[in-house]
Amino acid sequence: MINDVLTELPLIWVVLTSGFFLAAVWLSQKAKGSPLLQPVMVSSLVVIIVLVITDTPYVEYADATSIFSYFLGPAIVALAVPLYENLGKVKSLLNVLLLSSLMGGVIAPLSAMTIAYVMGVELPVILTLATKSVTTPIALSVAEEVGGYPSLAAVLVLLTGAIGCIMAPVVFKMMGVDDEPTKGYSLGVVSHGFGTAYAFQYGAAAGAFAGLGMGITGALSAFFLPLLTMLFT
Amino acid sequence: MSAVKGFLVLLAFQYAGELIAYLAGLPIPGAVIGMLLLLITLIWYGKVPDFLRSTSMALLAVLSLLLVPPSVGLVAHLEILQDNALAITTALIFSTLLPMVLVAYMLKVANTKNSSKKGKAEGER
Repeated sequence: MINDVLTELPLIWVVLTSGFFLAAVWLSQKAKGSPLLQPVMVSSLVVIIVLVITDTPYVEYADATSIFSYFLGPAIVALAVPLYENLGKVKSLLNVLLLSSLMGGVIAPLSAMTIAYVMGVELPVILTLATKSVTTPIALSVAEEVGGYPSLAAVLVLLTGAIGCIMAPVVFKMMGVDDEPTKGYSLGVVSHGFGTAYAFQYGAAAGAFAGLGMGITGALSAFFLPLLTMLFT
Repeated sequence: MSAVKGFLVLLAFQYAGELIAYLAGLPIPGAVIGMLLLLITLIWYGKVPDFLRSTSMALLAVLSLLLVPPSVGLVAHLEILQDNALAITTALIFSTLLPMVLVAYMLKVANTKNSSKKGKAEGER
């Protein structure tokens, strides 16, 4: 009976997803933005538990919530607005920032793919690993372009985000880095939106630089990742 | 109506990007090309129109929510993740650590250079 209702009225999945997400945001704010309670991660896990309990196949859930994916395209385009507004603040640094985005943006997928290749991982997963440091909406479309699995890309991106935020304080301390823009930009290049959210805890400047790092790296990556993956195919 | 106007602009740029990718046979997501086109347009125009800013910010505010369904896709790939757990974990850890150290180092060096330049310029004055 419950399963019939779930299948016949798929809007419930949109309602549940939004509701769980709001609850997760509230929880994350209560926990002062701990990287372990990232709202996307928490609400996805809760949805997964509900899917398992109700014995609902992922395809059915993906179908029911496909409306969300229609807004991803315009949201990627909208990234140009904060990118433009932050660009003005950093004109003098732009060359260094572009260069470090390029270096970080190449090293991350290249090292991930090489390690996976050496350890005998199958090709579609290697190709999906290429997208791991890019902001999720861009990662999804790149994964599709290069022949990886978009939904696996979403998961790898989330994990990379979490790993980056856990490593960051230790790395910055060992390297003696303590200026906000450097911390923020590194987090944005390596850990995209996750890192950006985390960087705001260092301060507004760190957050702005992280957003810029995420945007520049994401845009550049969309262009060179398809070429980079050709090395492995 | 300004929300519709903002949304129309975003969609139009996305479409232009998709059209370019399709016509040129580029393996690049059309929306990313659309983002760069909009960025170039904004640089040329010199400011962000209010209607575009409000629509964009509203859309970006819900961006995280849009990412929940793909992340739930984890369930569809549990087997792959389990079979390759060690390789994927190793790959993720090193490929996060390396670029983080590299980027932080590059910016640190650039900062020191910048501030020593500034110091000199002030000294000369």
